[in-house]
Amino acid sequence: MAVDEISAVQNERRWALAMGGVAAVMLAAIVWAGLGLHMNPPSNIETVDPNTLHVAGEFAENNLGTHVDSAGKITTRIVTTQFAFVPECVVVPQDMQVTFRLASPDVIHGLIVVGTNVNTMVVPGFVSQVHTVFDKPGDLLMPCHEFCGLGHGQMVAHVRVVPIADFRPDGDGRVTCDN
Amino acid sequence: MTINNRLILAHLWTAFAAFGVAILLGLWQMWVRSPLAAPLSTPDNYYLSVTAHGSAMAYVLTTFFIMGFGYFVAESALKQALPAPRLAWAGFVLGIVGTVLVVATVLSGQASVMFTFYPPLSASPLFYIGLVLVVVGSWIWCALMIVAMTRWKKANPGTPVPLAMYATVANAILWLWTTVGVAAELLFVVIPAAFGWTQTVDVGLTRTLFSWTLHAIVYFWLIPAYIAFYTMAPQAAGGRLFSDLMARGSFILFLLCGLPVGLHHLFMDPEHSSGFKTVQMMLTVLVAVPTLLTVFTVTASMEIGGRLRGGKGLLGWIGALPWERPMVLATGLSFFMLWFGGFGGLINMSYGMNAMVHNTSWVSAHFHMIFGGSVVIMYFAIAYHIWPNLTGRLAPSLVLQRAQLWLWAIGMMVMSLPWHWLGLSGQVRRVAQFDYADPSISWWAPWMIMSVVGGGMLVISAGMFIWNLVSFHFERTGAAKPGPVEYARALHPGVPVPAALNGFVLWNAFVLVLMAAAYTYPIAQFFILKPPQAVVHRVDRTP
Amino acid sequence: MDTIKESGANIEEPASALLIQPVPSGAFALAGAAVALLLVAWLVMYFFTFLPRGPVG
Ligand SMILES: [Cu+2]
Ligand SMILES: [Cu+2]
Repeated sequence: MAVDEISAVQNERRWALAMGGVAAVMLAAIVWAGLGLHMNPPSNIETVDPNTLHVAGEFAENNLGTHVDSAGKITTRIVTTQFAFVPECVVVPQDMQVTFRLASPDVIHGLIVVGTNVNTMVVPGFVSQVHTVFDKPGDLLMPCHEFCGLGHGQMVAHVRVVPIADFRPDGDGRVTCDN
Repeated sequence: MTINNRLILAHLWTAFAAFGVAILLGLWQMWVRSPLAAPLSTPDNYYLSVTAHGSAMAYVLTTFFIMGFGYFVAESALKQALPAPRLAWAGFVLGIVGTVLVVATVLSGQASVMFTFYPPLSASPLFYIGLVLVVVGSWIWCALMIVAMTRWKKANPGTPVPLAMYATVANAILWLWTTVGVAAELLFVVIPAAFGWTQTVDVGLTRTLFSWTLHAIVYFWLIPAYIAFYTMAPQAAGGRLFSDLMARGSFILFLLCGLPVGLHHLFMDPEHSSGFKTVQMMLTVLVAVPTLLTVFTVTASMEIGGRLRGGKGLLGWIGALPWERPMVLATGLSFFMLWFGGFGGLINMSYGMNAMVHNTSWVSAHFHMIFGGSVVIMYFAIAYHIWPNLTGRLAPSLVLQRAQLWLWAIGMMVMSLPWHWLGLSGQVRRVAQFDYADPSISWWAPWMIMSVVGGGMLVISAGMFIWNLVSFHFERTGAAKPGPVEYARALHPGVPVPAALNGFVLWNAFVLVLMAAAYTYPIAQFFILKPPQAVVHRVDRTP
Repeated sequence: MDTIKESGANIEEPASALLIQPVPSGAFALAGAAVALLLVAWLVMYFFTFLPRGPVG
């Protein structure tokens, strides 16, 4: 190989090494967020039958919304359907771990809680699960973010984050936007 | 000089005709989303339009442009006639028939499922069959590119395949691999459901198969731009290709790394494990390597041009470049937009960080900047570069060409930059109308109007582009005849090219191994897990 | 009406060898600055948007 081409390839190698350094910095930050801070995308691979989920079980209508179990674990269950969230408003406490569990009986939907890292697809056949902590009180917008049909644009819900003092479960451990 | 000019022009004009219509739809969509009152603004029309815009830009503009440009490269770089031009015409006709089916089904409202399908939504079967025909037509192109290169190698033993052709064949092979995913999705799941032969679909499986295609298809679209970066821009700038070997290496890396990364489109999906998501995130980081190498190699090649033209100092060569040449100008503007598009893409691929932006306007901003901006501006530049050859006439006006390129880049920035912060503030994609009376989003209004203005600039630029090309055909042939298109020579010509960098057998074996590692389990899991299926939702019949 | 002159072909080989001596220092500077800026922008997003938006898992 000509001497000149060797020098060209050497220059390219220097550049590639520098780029490898840049990539390594980013990878380290991403891995740290994932392993150190447990900031991972929803990946629970848990199946549910979209055709029967409204009939009985976890996603039956009377189980939807926010529920505090006997151990104090807070779970918010929502069904995303053409073209509404059920329920359209959920209450969660500030500064406490909350688990969202979502399922779809019909087509693909998705959601983002605006201003937070809560973001997931809702794929019929699977339960989407996101753990999070909201650190500020307020009413957060939660639009459907995946095309699900002509009414897609109307599909918006709210997450009401309240201070712990205002988060009062009823006798069954339920908290709704109405009470 | 090329022989099958009519074939090439037929492909390129089909591509640009689709582009010309689709961009008008794009402007109307921005108008509908903005606070300004738009005519015909209903959800039905909006989703029909988004489907048409996406299908025309992503499938018709790209596929026909790439095929036409490939035929041009095969004849001009290899300096030999295309093998079997009749077959090439057959591929063209298949593509046209497919396009007509797609247009007819979309315009009649039978296929408002977006160009990404989203089963269990189900459109008219003719929509999917149309797309399959376009793809089958492009497979003929792939075969012809491979045959052209193989024949040339036999006739020229010991001589490396010219870089432009080597890269074109890399793209043809990449495309064959790429289309396996979407072809499987359409043929085994979506089309049977569309005909009513099956009543349910495995949604996770269809999403996974489509993800196989979804990243590599973008590399299929952008490789022509990279071919121009490496082989046309340095020549136009009076420079030399800094390293022919590195250029070949970059195209091979696109082939290797562009494919086993599609799960990064499913980071926010519940049906895949964080393990496979992480693996494909890491492979996605590797995908950045060939682009970063290209940025360096092409910049160095341009630097040679600038210095040969008298540019001094560390950066003086930049000003010394012949910016009045459309190819040079387009390359500069393309690299500028590549920074923004690349930045958006880096956030998208960063695993957990994807949660900030997934399915928001940020994503639209990213792909408009990188595809509509960096790539399509090079499609323009390539057209300007080869049209003299195809028509035998010199450009009527370089001033108009430059003005068109500038307007495109500025329009793209004006339109898509606001989408970044709107997306970060929770503006989702594919929503026709927002409630600007809501105080939490009322501040979006001026930015959305800015996007409409940017869209208007793009429409004007597109009109100028069509005009610039049409005016070639009406230019009288004068005494001055355009010379043949010359591809950039390497800075150090005559460097022996290793056999591995002159063929693809080895790399195909690598792709096979990588794809097996990346996708065997993510696909097989649906047959092991057997998740409950979802009932098909037809959009082509009103219940 | 302006036209493009045939470019590149008029370069004398010895001249090119002499002139391109500083190559690719300019490319290192320009492309390096662009990528450095890219990394800074990414880190800004990481520390000032992503982490403050709260934990998910
Ligand atoms: Cu939706
Ligand atoms: Cu991708």
